[in-house]
Amino acid sequence: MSTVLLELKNVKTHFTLSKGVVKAVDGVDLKLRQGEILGLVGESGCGKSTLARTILQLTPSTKGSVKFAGKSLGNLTSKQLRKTRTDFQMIFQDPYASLNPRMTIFDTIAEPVQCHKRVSKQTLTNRTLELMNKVGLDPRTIKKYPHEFSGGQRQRIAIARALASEPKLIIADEPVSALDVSIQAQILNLLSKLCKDMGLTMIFISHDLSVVKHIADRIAVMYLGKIVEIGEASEIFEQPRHAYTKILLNAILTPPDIALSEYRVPFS
Amino acid sequence: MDSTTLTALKITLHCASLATFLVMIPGTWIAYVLARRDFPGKNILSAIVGLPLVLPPTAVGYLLLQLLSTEGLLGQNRLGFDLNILLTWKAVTLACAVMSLPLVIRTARVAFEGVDPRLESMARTLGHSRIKTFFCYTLPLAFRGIFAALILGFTRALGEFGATVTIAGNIPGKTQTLASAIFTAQQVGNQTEAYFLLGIALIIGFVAILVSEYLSQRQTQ
Ligand SMILES: Nc1ncnc2c1ncn2[C@@H]1O[C@H](COP(=O)(O)OP(=O)(O)OP(=O)(O)O)[C@@H](O)[C@H]1O
Ligand SMILES: [Mg+2]
Repeated sequence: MSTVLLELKNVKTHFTLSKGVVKAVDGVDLKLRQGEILGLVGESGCGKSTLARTILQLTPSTKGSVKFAGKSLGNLTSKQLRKTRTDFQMIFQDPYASLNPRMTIFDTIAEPVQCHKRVSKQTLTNRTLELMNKVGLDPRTIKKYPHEFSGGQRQRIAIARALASEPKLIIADEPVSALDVSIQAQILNLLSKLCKDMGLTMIFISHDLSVVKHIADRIAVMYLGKIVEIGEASEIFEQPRHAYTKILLNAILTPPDIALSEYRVPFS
Repeated sequence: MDSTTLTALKITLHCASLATFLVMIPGTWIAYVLARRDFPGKNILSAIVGLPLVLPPTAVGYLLLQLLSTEGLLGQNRLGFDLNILLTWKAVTLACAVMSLPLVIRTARVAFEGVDPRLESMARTLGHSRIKTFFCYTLPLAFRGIFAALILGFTRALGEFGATVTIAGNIPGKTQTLASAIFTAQQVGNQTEAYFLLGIALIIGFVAILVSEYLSQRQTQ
C-alpha cells in the first residue's frame, strides 16, 4: 500500500457570526493515499468547500490537525506555508472567476512557475507550451486573454496552471458543474487521465454522485460538516450504509421526469 | 478676474488636492477592510465613517471646531501646543478631507467588492503572501473604481462649504474658496463675479463626474 499523503484528524472549522456559530466543518478525519482520487460529495452547504479551504490553509481551522506529507500545516510559519503551497493546488468551479482577466494565458500558466524561482523566458515559454499541450489547448492561443475562451477551455487553462507548480495534491472544487454536460465529460476524462499519467493525488468535490462515480477511487459522503460514510466507489454505490447516502443515490437513480412531477404545480 | 477670485480658485484646487491625497491611503484601506474582513462592530465602523455623508456639513464643522478649540481634545490646553489649524488653509483642507472621506470609502468599497474573492484565494494558493496578493491582484483589479472614488472625493472637496466656513471662515485671499466666494458674491450682489465663479464650478464638476462615470463603467466590464 502506498504512503499516506494527507491526513486530517478531527478537523473543525467554525464561523462565528452575529447570528450564532456555523459549524461548517465539524470533526473530519480523513486519510488520503498517494495517487488516489477521492470524491467528496454532499449537498450544497454541507461544508465541502470549507473543508477544501481548510486543507489548503486558506481558512484557519478551529480545531484539529492537517498533516501533509508528514508535516503539520498548522505549525508552519507563513513563509514556510507559502513555499509548501505549491505542493497543493486548487481548481475552482467557475474558471472565469479564478483566472485573472488582466493576464494572458502565458502569464497565467507561467505565474506559479516563476512564483518561487527565477526562470528564463525561454524555459517558461517551453514549459507553458508543454502544459497547454497536456491539457489540450491550442498553442497559438498563448497570448490570448481568458474572456476569449469558452468555459471548457478556461477550465483547461485553470488545470494547466494548477499543474504548473508540479503539485502533489489537487483539490478540484466542483470543476465541471458550471460547464455544459457535453463538455463536463471531456474535462472529467482529462482530469482522470492527468492524475493517472502524473501520479497525482486529487480530492474531487461535487454535489452530484453521478459525476464523482466516473473519476473517484474512493468516495466520502459529507453531511452537515461531518463525513458520514467513506469507502471504495463501487461499495458506496452497491451497499450504501448511511441513510443520507441512500438519499443521494436515489436522487441520481430516479428518472428525471418522475423527480420533476413531484414539484409540478397543479393548475387551478 | 480680480486677484481675490484667482486666490480663491487656487486655494480651492490646492486644498482639495491635498485633502484627496490625505484621504487616499486611509480611505482605500478602510474600504478594503469593510469589503473583505468580518469583525465585530463592522456595521458600527461603517456607520461612523458614513456619518459625514448624512450630517449637515455645518454640524460636522461644529464637531471639528469643538475638537480643535482651545479646550477641545486636540486643543492647545490638552496638547500643550497649538496645532494652529482653525481659520487657516489647513482648516479648509481638514474640512474637505473629512467631508470627502465617506464618499471615497463607499465608492472604493464597491470597487473592492467587485473583485472576485476566489481570485485572491487563487493567488494565495499559488504561493503569494497576503500583501503581494493585495498589490498584485486586488488593487490592480479594483484600480479604476478606486480612481473614480478619488475623483468623486476630489469633487466633493471642491464643493465643500458648510464645514469649511465653520472652521476656516470665509477670509478673502486666505481661506475663501470657490464655494464661499460664490456665496459672498451673491450676498453682496456682485452678479458678474457670481456667474463667472458658477461657470468655473460647473466645468470642474462636469468633467470630474464624466471621468469618474467612465472609469466605473470600464471596471464592470
Ligand atoms: N467565510 C464564511 N463565513 C461564514 N460562514 C461561512 C463562510 N464560508 C462558508 N460558510 C458557511 O458554511 C457552510 C458550508 O459552506 P460551504 O461553502 O463549505 O458548503 P459547500 O458544501 O461547499 O456548498 P456548495 O455545494 O453550495 O458549494 C454554509 O452554511 C456557509 O454559509
Ligand atoms: Mg462549495
